[in-house]
This record gives sequence, structure tokens and C-alpha cells, in this order.
Amino acid sequence: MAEKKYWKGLEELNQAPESAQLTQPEFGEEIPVEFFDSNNDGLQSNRRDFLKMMGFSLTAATVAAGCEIPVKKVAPYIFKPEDVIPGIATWYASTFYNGGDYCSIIVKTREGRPIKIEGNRDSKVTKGGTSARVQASVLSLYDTARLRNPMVKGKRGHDNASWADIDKAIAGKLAANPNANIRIVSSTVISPSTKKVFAAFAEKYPNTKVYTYDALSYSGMLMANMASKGKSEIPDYHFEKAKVIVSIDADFLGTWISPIEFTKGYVATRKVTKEKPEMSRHYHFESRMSLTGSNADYRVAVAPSELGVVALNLLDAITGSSTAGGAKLKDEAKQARLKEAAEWLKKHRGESLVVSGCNDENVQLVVNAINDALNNYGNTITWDCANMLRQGSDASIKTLIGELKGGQVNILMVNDCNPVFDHPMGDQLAEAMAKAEMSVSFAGSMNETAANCTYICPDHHFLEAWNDAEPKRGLYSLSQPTIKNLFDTRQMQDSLLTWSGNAMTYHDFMVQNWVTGPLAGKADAMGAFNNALQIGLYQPENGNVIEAVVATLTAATEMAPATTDVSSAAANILGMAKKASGVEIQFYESIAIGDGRYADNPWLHELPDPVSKITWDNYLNVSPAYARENKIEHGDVVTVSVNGKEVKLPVAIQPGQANNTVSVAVGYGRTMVGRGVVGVGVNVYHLLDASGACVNYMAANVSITNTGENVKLAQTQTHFSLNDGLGQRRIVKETTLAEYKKSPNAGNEDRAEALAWKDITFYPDYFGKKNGFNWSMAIDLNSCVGCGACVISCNAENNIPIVGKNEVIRSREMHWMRIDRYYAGTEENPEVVYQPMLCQHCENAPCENVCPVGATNHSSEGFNQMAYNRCIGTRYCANNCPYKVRRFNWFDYGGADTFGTMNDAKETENRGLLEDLTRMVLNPDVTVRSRGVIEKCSFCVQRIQEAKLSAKKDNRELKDGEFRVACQSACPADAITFGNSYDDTSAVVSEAKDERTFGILEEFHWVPSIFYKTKVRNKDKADHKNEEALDIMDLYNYK
Amino acid sequence: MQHKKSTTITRFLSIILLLALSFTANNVFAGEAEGKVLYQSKCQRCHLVDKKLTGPALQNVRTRWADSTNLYAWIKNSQSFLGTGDKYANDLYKEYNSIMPAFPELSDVDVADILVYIDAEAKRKQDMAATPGPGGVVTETKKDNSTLYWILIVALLFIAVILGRAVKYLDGLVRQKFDDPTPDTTPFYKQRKYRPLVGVLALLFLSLLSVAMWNSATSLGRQQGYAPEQPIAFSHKVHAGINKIDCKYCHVGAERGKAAVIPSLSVCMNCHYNIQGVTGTDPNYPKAVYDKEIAKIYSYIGFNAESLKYESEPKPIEWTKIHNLPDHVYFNHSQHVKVAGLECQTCHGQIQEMDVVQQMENLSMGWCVNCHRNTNVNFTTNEFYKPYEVLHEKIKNGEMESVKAEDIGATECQKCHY
Repeated sequence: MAEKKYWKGLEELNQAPESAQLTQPEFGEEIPVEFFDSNNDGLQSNRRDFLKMMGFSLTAATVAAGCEIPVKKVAPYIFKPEDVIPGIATWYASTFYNGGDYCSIIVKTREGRPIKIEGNRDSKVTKGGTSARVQASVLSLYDTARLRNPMVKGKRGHDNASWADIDKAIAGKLAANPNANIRIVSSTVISPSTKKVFAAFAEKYPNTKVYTYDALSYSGMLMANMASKGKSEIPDYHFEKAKVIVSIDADFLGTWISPIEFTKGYVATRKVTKEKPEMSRHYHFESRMSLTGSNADYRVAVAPSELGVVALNLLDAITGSSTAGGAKLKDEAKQARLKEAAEWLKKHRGESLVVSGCNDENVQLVVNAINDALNNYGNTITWDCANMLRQGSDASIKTLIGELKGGQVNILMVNDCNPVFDHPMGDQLAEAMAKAEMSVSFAGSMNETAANCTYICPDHHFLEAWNDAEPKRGLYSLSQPTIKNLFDTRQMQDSLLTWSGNAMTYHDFMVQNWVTGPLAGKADAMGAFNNALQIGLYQPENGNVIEAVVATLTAATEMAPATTDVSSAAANILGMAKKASGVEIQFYESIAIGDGRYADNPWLHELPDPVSKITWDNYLNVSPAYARENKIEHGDVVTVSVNGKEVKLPVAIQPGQANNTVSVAVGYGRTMVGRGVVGVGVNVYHLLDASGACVNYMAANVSITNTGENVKLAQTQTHFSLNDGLGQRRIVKETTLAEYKKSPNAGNEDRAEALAWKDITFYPDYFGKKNGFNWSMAIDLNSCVGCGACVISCNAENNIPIVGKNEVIRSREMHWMRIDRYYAGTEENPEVVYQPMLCQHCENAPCENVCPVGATNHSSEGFNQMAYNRCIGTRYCANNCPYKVRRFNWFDYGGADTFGTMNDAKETENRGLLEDLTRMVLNPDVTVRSRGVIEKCSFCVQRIQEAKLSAKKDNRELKDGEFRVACQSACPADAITFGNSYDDTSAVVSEAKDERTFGILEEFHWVPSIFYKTKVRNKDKADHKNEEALDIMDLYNYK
Repeated sequence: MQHKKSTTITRFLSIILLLALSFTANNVFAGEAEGKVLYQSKCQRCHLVDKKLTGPALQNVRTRWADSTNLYAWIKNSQSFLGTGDKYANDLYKEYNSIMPAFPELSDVDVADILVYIDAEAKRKQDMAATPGPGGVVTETKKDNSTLYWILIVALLFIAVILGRAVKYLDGLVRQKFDDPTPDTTPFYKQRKYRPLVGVLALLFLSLLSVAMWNSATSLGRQQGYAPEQPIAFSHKVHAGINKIDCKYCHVGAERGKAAVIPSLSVCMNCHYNIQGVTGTDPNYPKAVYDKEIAKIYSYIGFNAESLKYESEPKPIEWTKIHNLPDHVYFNHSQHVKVAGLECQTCHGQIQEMDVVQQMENLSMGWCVNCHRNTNVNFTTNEFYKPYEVLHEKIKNGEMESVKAEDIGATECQKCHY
């Protein structure tokens, strides 16, 4: 069998000269000796002067540092809170909710500061999983750009004001005209108590209307569900019950509705064992390469306008109807794959799932019809716990603009949304807002909409606030403050209560809502509430529902289904498809930045996009073939003209992008965010077409012209290559389900050979002797979907700094953990493997024995340990690391150096951890590294030591699974297992014994402590033969 | 003295007797010693003799209560006495708004003893107030004499230079007179015969310099002997030494967490709510000085010692931190105190004898590591160490007697640096 060839980027695939460099030692630059030795023009000092100066400055530094030791002060509590012991973390259960993203969480606080967020394992919705966005949200609490007090619009921008003044002005205005037309525009609210606050406000001021809109809209789906199911709601999808999943451009592992929940469910169907060699089969139709598409068993690249045709063809193949009217996918092979998907669906009626991410009522109607035909409703799709996370209607903003223009709005209030930035008609809205007599924003930090408001009444950060949430009907969770509000902010609900003349605080209001509502029947309602608050959840078995839905808030009224007929939908779809010509574009939500509300978070900016691996930018994805034909290079800036509007974007050549289509992420190009993150990327929201019933995230007839300019994209995909430049090292291993069924070690047959010398060691005292602990990790490549939650979790846990775009371009990102993404096969539609890569803690580590000062060495517990204070920065270890996981501090990113910041201007763009406020996020148990030292994954030794200590104090053995390392606990896919490999009963040992287990580059006998498990694709051999165009083996065999 | 109800003759007699005795001599208060013990265990928590606290000041209590039977009944069970509707008792209750606990265990004799002690104590206080004492110890003001030294040195140097010139001049005069040849003016260190000596001296100097540099470099950032002045002259000797308060009563974190924890002000107030001044007579702790130090606590926490209320805005005390470890060191008190069972003194020295705390050890890595090499682990008693099968085997075989911290990796980098 021809060896499968993996590649990380096109330059590697095409053997471009740059790729040869990438496999060279990481820090292999020659020192320009001659340059320093000669008295060059323009160089004022030569080598000898340099040495003299160095000697002088060293002495000066010694004198300066040695003379006086700074006096340190320590201030104890005045009254120590009972539950706080300095040095011991206090955990609070709470809820993360931000514009449609929901997660039940527990928050770690140290000395009163929230520093880390973990998933709440008791939640029935997110089940302990988290996402990168959830993990990063703790940093936004300490954002220096947060508003510190209420503001009122003055002549030049906004002036600071006091709450008393603001209340006087706003309450005065309301009192003067209680019948004023008030519009509250908000992103989806899932808090029952907040809805009650809105209702109470509307009761007091009867002409109040609440407009809900979501920047990234699910309007089409809500409308379709209304039409065919009589419910303007999103149902409860059970990915865990689906044996066949067909997704028509629904990125359900990355961004679609509730990705944490869906990842949990999806991965549950993908865990194969010898005992249960079964997994779901996943077909994916899309134009851009999404995170979900890259995880599919079969991904079919189609143009955006063909997505509806795919749905119609599926429907026809399943029901035997002919709605498609002969319309087909242009490519034969793709059409065949479509047929095959339909066959699989038919075989699994009631245990399959068809989902679509199109914001088009027509496509959604067809998808509903397919699921109906497959008898999936009631099985994999249910309505009991309908999903509440998206309730917005695209009509609302348009109505609002009309009303504003007509002078029908007296007071406008903007809650938790930024329509001026993220609505296609944002500029019109900004203009029309001036016509309202008063506009009020509750934005916590300045944004494009707030800048147009008369008053800004900053809301608390969610970690400072009380709240409740109902992410799915009948399943509740609660939020509680984990820190007193840092600034003079006030919760939005408190503001509204104050203005509606209610003397209650929102906390009291909410408690009352609970004890008189769902908990009213309990003997001790207050006690029950406190219990719910303590675990952060209220999940009654029989679905005890809070009746708090406000009619004006959502149109979630149930009525008889209007239609199950899809003929008119089909006509619309076919009409659209026929109209589409030329290059088509798709606008998508990026994993990190979302609709733009996360654009203030540098952790998320520096998180490489899972697929493209590009940071700090949005860009136009084009297919390699298109780039070749039109002579566009990676990084070329092009002018994109869509719907008569133009924008300049850099090009990223993206394997897997359907040919003649392009795609670009929305949410970038925020102009009013904090320093360091302002102006990252380009705003493309105004290119969207909002003229129809739903905002259209696709467009055809796009013209692209090259400006001739070229920029560097901060792309990490080929940084730190493990390859030898020939693509012959077996770094990832994979197999198909059919092969796996035949032999559990399929794809991993060569492991026995690799383990030939397994008993040879540098450390005979420790090696293989069951003495105490030896820490080990197992990562299941079949579970890992590549979402990046672990990367950000590691950032937060280990005080990892961000470095900024320019430094990423120089491949100086500091992430201890990265997710390597490998392509295999053709550039048109490659297969993708994600491989989390971190220090492998080799038992025979090549880095250890090249350190001239012994700063990195081996511990008896199997750590490859790193003593920062001993490191002198030779970087020999990094050069000798086969996995390229060691990071060098080129600057004083963390502010650890004695002499303050010794950095040059380059670094000030990302002052990050040099700000006192931002430094509050630091984990006090982990050293802040100084300039000039190497750092890397420590296996979260601080967590291990903490767990060991608590076991010692209790006089008991350490239990397996008692603690979780940061990446492991963040993972929504449960892909990571960690434990003591000397303990035969531990989970990690049973993982290590599995036939799928292998170590990366094991044949060199570095004896890594991290095991990976072979990826299994649900493909069978026949499929490869079926489809030559998609066969990956032979086309690009460069050997 | 009238008695409405006299239950037993003995009781009556004993009281008379005691009262009589109490008037016989100033310093002979029979039963005073017994009374003192009882007073300290029963009353002191809420009462002072000369000052209001939770309860009223107790001096002249007998003159305030017209009827001593009532007083006895009140002391033994104030709550039930309130039920009699006695006006004075009810006024007291209203004023202090707290009920004195009942003391059914006290006999009449006991109560009498207590009252005797109160009278004696009141008298002592009165006497002290009447005869003004030495007014405490005059605080020594340390003069800074260094300027004087410098002036002296400069003056002496000046004189030395003048004298040197005078000697040279006189020497020249003598030579002139006796017509001596001018001596060789080449300095001795340039002369050939002295070269080896100069070499040796230079080498010596360089070696000494190196040693000095090594020492100063290794002691960089170390503060052994550091004993800064603190915002409150808190004496560990008084608290932990003389009064034998357990360290962990205040340093609550020592057994539980990373930091031993400097106690919060509220912990100080647990005792100093009542102990508002120096009660001992140790001349080292003069009342005039140390009462002011105690008063500082009140000013920090905003406590009014007269009204016994927390009145003003509290502010935290900024203590000067003495034991400082660099940021790259992780140290956990509970590991050492709770798990290893070390005494505080092992690292902090004889803290119970220090009026001013100073850093006894240099807190260097060598010092840590040496201890880790020499200290036994509670290896067989703590279940946690069960997985160390090889070591357990060795102990069984007699290959090892005990397990040192080092044997389970306590000298490895990542035990303290991460």
C-alpha cells in the first residue's frame, strides 16, 4: 500500500523552497560574526566595544540590583471572609452566556480574583465541556478597555457621569412621558428573570417593545419551523443518538447553535472500542472548509448556491419525489456521494440527523421535510427541551430602522448587541439613531453602537453579575458574582428596575422570581434556591417551567403547521441556484471571534483558526486552483466586490475550498475596541444582503481583482514542523472503520517494530519500576475535533502571554499546546487530521542532555522539568526537540523582569500582561517567565502537586481522576486522559494498552509520555475505489 | 446592712466575717486569691474593674446594689432575676443589651470571693492613679552620630596631610644642611626586587575580590537577619512565649494552605476587644508604651474602646514582609506543617522569644535542599505513600531504614519551581 502522505500547508505539498527551511532547526540562524567584527559604515561600535559595554552594563546591573532589596508590604484582611483562605482556591458555580453562546461553568477564584473557568460536569446541556470562547472570557473581565463609569454624550465624544445624574436624566425623561415609544433592541435573552424585568418595564411604560435580533441569524430556521412545525423555536438535536449525520453547511462542532453540547453528543458516537467497533457516519456538504467539515467522514465541496440543491436531491432520493426537477451537482462523483448519503439515511430511519446552517427558510423547510421523511422527529430531534439560544428575527432591525426614520421612537435602548457594526444596514441605523430623542446603551465597553448613544450605562461583566438562564426549555442554570464589580458599573437589569420605579435589586427580584415561581411548591424554597445556586443548576426531571416568556420579546407562539409542502421552497431554491453565476462568496462565523463580540479578546485573536491556522486577521479563502488560474498568491491583497460594495482583503489559499467560491469571516475590523486589538481584520458585514426576509450570508457574481499588494498573514500552520521534509515520518496514524473491524491495530501495525528497544533508558533507577508516580497522557485522535478550547485553557492556567501579529509571523507564538492540522490527499478536498501537540515528556528526552546548565532535566515522576531561573537561553533544547514544543521568551511579555520593561516599541502593541489590571488574571501558582528563558508544557504540575498535597493531608492514596490537567478539563470531546501510568487500574493505563495506541516518532526511542490513538474514519475500502477524484493516495505522490 | 431573707446562718456569718476582714487592712483581702481565679475564668471575658466592656465596670458594684442578696441572685442567674422586675437590674439590661450567662456552679462564698477581689483590684487601680508613677519608660531616641564621624575623619585626614608636608619640608631642610644626595625617587613597587611581592599581592587582591564577589552574588536577594520595624510593635514573645498562644491560632493558613497567613485584624480583636491595655507588670513591657501599640489596632479597625463599637472606617495594616521567596519558588506551608509535622521554629527560629521578628535562616535553595536530604518522611504512616512500592520493599528487606524526602523526589526542580 502506498504510504499516505500528510502535509500541513501547500508549500509543503508542493515542495516549495520555504518548506525545506521549515524543517531546519528552529533557532538555527548563523551569528553574523564578520558584521560585528568590522567597523562597518553605519554601525557605530564593533565587537570589542560591544563587549566593553556589556561588561559595564553587567556590572551596573549587579550594583543596581545588589544594593537594595525592595521592601515588600503585605496587608492582611481586616475581616477575613470565612470561606477564603489565602492560597486556596474558592470555586463558584455560574453560567457563561454571551450572545447565543452558552456554557454551564465553575469559576476558580484566588484571593477573590476569578482566574480560571472550567466546565460544570453536572450540566445536562454542556456536560462539563467548554469552548475557547468560554475559556477566554475570564480575560475580558480584566480588559483595560472596559468602561469604568456611566457616560453621557457631550460635544466631543462621551463624558463621564454619575449614576445619580444618569438616573435623573433617564427616569426624568420616562416620567415626563410614560407613553413614550420605547424600543429595547437586544440579542437573544435566555434569562427568565431578565425577561420578567423587561415585562415589568413594559408594564410601566406600555409603549415598550423588545426587538430581539442575532448578529449571526437563525431567522430562516425559526421561520421554517414556524411554517412546518408551528413552532418558532430551534428543536433539541440529539447528535448522540444519530448513526448517520448529514450536515448541509452546519458547522455544529464550531459555531452552530450550541457547539459544546453538540461536540459532546457527536463525539459520543465516534468513540470506537474493540468491544463496540461502531461509529456514526458523517457526510458534510459545504463550500468552505469548516471545522465540522474537516471532521467529516465524507466531505463534499459544493458552491453555496448548490446547498439547496443538495437538500432537494436528498429529499428526492429518500421520498422518491422529484422536487429537484433534475437539478444535480455538476460533478458526477459528488452527485454519487450525495446518493450514497441518501442511501445511508434511508437505512437509518429514526436514528439519523440532517442539519443545515443556511439562513434560508426554503432550505430549512426542505431539511425539515427530510427529517420528517426519515422519522427523525421524536427520535433524534425533539421539542420537549427546545433550544432557546437563538430567538432573533431578521425583520426586527429593519422594522427598527423604519420606525426610527419615521420618528416613531422616542427612546432606544441597546442591550448586549452591536447592530451598527454587525448589521448589514448598520450605517443606516447609526444615522437613524440620531432621530430618537434619547438612546441608551448598556455596553460594558465602548462599541460602535454605544458610540452613537446619548447615554452609556455600562453593564457588569458576567462574572460580576447575578443572573439565571434557560438554555433549553426546562433546564436552568444560575449565575452568581465571583468578584465585586471592579468598576462603577451597574447590571442592566438593575438599571431597568430603577427606571421602572422598582426599588428591588435584580438579585432580590430574581430570587423572588424563583421562590415564588418554580420552587414555590418546595417546603424550603429559599433552601432549594441556595442549593441550585451552589451547583449552578436547576434541572428538574419532569421539566418544571418558569412561565416568563414575554409576548413582545419572542414570537414563540405555537400554532398549527402552515405547510409541509416544499414545492414553493423548491422553486425558490432552484431559482436561486440558476441565478447564481461567476464566483460565489460565503460569509461565516469564525471559531474565535464569533459575530465580533469576542474581538476584544487577544487570547482569541492569537488562537489559530482550527483549519487555516491563521491568527489576528480575517482573509479571503480561495481554492488553490482558483489562485493558480488567476495568478493570486497567498497574502495578496485583493479587492472583493459583492452586492455592489467593495472591500480589500488579503487572500489565504485554502485547500478544500470549493473551486470558484471564496469565503470570509465576519466579526473582524472592529474600530472601537481596546488597544492592541483595534483594527484587526476588515469588517465585511456591510457586504451582506439584508433585503430579503432573512440576511443572506451567501452571494454570487463576486468580482475579485488583485491590487498587487502582498501582506504577511500570521499563519502558524507550518511553524514547528515535525516532518523531515519528505513527508515520510509517520506522525499521525489513521485507519478506516472497516479495517479496524478486521484488526484492532489497523494503521498501527508498525508499532511493534517501533517498540523494539523499549527497555533501554537513561534513567534505570526510575524506568519501569513501579515506584510512586509516572504521569502519562493519552489523546484520542478520533475524539479530538480540533476546536482549540484546550489551547486557551492552557493559556489561562499557565500564564502564557500573547505576542501579537508581528511576532506570530516570526513564529514566536508562546502557546505551550498547539493543534497540528495535517492534510492528506488532494488540495481540492483533503482529509484532515487534528493532533494536539504539547511537550511529550519523553523518558529519554533529547532536550535534556543538550542543556549546558541543566535547566531542563528529568524527574522521578517522569516530568521533563524546566527550571526557568536556571535557563540562560541558549535554546539548544528547542533545537533538539523533535516535537518543537519549546518556546522562547524573546521579550518580557509577562512583566517579570527586575528592571521593568526592557522591551522595544515592537512589543508595546500587545502590552497584555504588563497592565496591572490584566495581571489580575495570572495564576499565582505558576511562575511568570522572564525574558530570555525557554518554557513549555509542565503537565500542569501545579495541579498535580495540589492534588497530591490534599491527599497527603487527608492521609489517603491519590485517586485516579481526582484532578484534571487544564487541557483535559477544557476538552468538550473528552479526547484527553491523564493519570499515573504506574497505577494499573488507572484510565490512562487502559488507554495505553489499546491496540490503537501509538507514540509519535516512537521508533527513535525517545519514549514519549503521551500516547495518541489512531484516528478511525467511517469509510470502507469501496469508497476509495468509487471515487477516483477524491482518492488521496496516488494523485499527489511525490516520491 | 439589712437582710430581707436570710437562708442560713453560715452564709450570713461568712459574709460578715469576710467583709469585716476586708476592712481590717488594705492589703489583706481574705479570699482575694480565690476570687482572682474565679474572676479570670468567669467574669473577665466581659468585664473590667475600672472600665465598661460588654458589661459594666465592676468597681463599687456593692455600693451600686443596695441589697446584697439581690446582687448575689443577679450574679448567679441574671435572667431569672430580671423576672423579679427589679428596676436597677432591668435598667442595666437595657443599657448593655446583653444577658449575663448564669453561673449555677458559684456558691455564695465564691461570689463573695469574687467581690473581694474586685474591691482589692479597684483599690489598687485607685492608688496607682493617685500616685503618678515614673510615666513609663522614656523612649530612647537613638541619635545618628555618623555625620560627626565623617567630620572627624576629614579633619584628621587634613591634619595628617599637613603633618606629612611638614615632615617632608623638615626632611629637605635636614638634607640641605648635611648636603645629602637626593634619594632614588623610583617608587618601590616599580623596583625590580619588589616585583614578586607586587605579583603576590595583586594575586591575593584579585582572589579576595573574587571571594567577595562570589559571596555578594550568592547573597543577592537574601535577607538573613532582616528585622524591619513594623507598623505595630507586635511582640511574638509576649503572645507566643509568655502567654503561650498557639501559633496556629492566628496563623490559620499554616496547616491548610500555601501561606501561613498574617492574621486579619478581626483575629486580633478576638482578644484585644477585652485586653485593652498591658495587664502584666513585666518592666520590659511598660504600660505607657504598649497600651499605645494596642490602641493602634483600634485605630486601624475603627474601634472605639470607650463605646466598644466599631465606629470609623477600617483600614488594613501594611506589615513589612520579612520572609520573602522569589516568584519562581513555590512553597506551601501545609506541606511542611501538616504533612511533615515540622515545628514552626525549624525554619523561623525561636520565634517565641522574639520581640521583633527577624529572618533566622537565609532561605537559600541550599538550605531547603539540605533539609530535604536529611528529613524523614512519614512514609509508613501516611497512606499517600503507598504507591512507592520499591521503597516499601526496601524497607521491608532492611535495605533502607527510613525514607528521606529526597528519596521521593523532594530535591527535583519541579517540586518547587513551576
